[in-house]
Amino acid sequence: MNSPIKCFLIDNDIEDQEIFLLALKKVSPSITCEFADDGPIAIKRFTSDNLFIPDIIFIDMNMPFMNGTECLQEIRKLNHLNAVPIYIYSTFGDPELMDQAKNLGAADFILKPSSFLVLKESLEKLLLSINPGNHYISK
Amino acid sequence: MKFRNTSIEIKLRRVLLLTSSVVLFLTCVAYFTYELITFRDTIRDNLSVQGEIIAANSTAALAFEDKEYAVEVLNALKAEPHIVAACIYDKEGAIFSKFPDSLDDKQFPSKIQKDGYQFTGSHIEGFTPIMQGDSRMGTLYVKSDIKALYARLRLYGLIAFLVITVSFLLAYLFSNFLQKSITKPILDLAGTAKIISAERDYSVRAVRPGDDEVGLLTDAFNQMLDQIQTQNREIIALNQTLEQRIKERTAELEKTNEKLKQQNEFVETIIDSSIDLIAVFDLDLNYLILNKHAEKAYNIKKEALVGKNVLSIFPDIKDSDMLRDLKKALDGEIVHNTNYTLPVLNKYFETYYVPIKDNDNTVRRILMVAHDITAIMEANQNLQLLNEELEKSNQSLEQFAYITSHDLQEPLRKIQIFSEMSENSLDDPAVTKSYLGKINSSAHRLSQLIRAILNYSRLSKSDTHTEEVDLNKILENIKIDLELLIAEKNAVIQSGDLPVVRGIPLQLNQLFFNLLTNSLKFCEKQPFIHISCNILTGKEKELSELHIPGSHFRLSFTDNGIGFEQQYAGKVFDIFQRVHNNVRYSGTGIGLALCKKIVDNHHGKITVTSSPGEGTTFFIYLPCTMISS
Repeated sequence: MNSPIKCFLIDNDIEDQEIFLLALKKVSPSITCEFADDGPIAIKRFTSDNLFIPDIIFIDMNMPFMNGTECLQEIRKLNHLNAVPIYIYSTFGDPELMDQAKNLGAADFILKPSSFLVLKESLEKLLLSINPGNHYISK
Repeated sequence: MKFRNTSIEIKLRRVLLLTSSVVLFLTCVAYFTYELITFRDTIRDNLSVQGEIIAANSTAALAFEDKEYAVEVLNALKAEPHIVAACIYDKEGAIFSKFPDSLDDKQFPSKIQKDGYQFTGSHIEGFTPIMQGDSRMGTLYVKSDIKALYARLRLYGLIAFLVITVSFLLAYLFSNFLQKSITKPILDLAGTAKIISAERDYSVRAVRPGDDEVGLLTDAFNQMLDQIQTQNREIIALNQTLEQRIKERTAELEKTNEKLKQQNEFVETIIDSSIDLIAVFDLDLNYLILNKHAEKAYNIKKEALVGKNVLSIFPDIKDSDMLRDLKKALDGEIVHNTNYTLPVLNKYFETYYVPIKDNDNTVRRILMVAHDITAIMEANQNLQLLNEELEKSNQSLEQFAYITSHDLQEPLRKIQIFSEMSENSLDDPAVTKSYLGKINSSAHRLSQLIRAILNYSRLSKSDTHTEEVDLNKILENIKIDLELLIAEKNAVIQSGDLPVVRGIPLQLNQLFFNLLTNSLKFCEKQPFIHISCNILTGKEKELSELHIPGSHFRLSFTDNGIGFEQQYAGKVFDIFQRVHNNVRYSGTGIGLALCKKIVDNHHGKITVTSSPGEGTTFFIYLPCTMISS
């Protein structure tokens, strides 16, 4: 698995999208990330193209139309994405909400940090843990 | 008066008089009869002798057929005044001579009969043969009256009458005198007995008249009196003892009675002073006892209830817990019902139904004790309402907590990140500047959010002062406030006639403001906004799924804005829920939450129908009671 990592972030906050992309690029410029502004757009993207399978999906919790857990449930219904780890990426998370997300099929719950550096480091760690020895990251 | 009821004195006198009279009368009758018989024989014998004499004297006259002589012989009969007729018949039986001569032949018997004299009615008559030697010359007929007999009998009768009368008088006098020796002691005894029986004086004694039977009777009588007197004394003594005992017993009973009465009154007072409803039923569920409190609660006089069946007084309890519990108690179960609404009183009670049993463990009565818990229940209900409100407010608080930790955190986090990033890019002033701009806008958003939250929290329930609000005026004022925006967007706002309502003016102002701002904001073409009001018909109310009782009116705010998918209609009123991305349609996500809260405060309901690209309509349902005439 030494191809560039493809990420997918669903977040209605454009600024957060920008920060997220900057952090990923800091981890490795080879990492690509696609964004969806809300749940319905993301679902539409996944259902319209079965061959589109990102390496990892992040979902913001607080979104219009469809919140993070609702969106998670919808994606988990899609069989071709079964193997893709999904992370909830939220400003706030109480243990109850975290448990609920994990029960619905989330790999983990990541809090949006108040520091760019912390974000970069936690993303790096996370990507390495799911892709150990990926030379794009480790380089 | 019957004989047996008459006085013994009269009886004795009557006996004496009757006896002597009968004896005398019988004697007289015997004597008289004897006289009658002997005198008749004497008369017949005399007449027979006279006849024979005349017959002997007339033999010659017949023998010589000398009629004159015959008359002469016969005339001798004149000396005998009693002879009324006589005649001589010849051998052939024809009348030869007669006496008196003037008498017609027909007055004599035409045929000669047997010799001898017979009484015929008031006369005595007969035939004597006239004999000469052995040959019969003829026959003499003599007829005499019996006046002599009658005279004699009259005399005898007179004498008998006199004798009887005199004897009777004498007997009466003697009896009067003699009987006294017998009757007096008896009468005295009777008198004494009468006195004793009348006066009940058993000390009186009869005087002993002598040693005869009456004397013995008197003795026996006196003895009996002695016994009676003794017994009387004993009886009186016994009576006195009895009376004493009765008196004592009565006093005792009275005392016990008084005690019981006091006890009863005490129990009754306790039952009556109970604040619980107490009633006792018999096995047929008739009221037996009812305390004052129950009487008051039922608002029926005790007298009207006691003895009546509970079902006949309160037919409504037929299918109620009360009847079921009473029946359970009849089966011997103690029933405790912690919350029971008496259909009779429309109040809440905690009730006990206790079977009252006798020694055989048989249920005899049912005691009902009902404790009025209406106040507690009402307090409970109030508490529940308060609790619900508290829960609501708790939810709001939770939402607030969520807001502060999420929505407020978001801009804050961005400020931190962009500060950090700008710090790292100080060598590139253009980049730093863009980060500083982002920091500024985040800070601006933060302050906007804080203001909105403050607004929301100001809509506290305590601000419930209502006054008359003319919705037309409110709309006009808002139009003036939003003049610039309206002009900028070239918006058209139409409205029908809106009512004057009783409400909280500032809140209603905010409601209109938020809805209009929303319509103006979420619009890409020329905004066209229509506001109208109508009173709901029953069917419309049903369609609106308005589950609040009473009549309502509906305010509609219709626009031609961008709208949203109807499936998100439930979310738009949640606080901090945005159905549009905040880049193009910046907002705090509080406006509609505020609207909902305002409508809630006015006991109404807000709903929305929308279609993307078509427009949105907000419906606000408010109770008609708000409308000022």
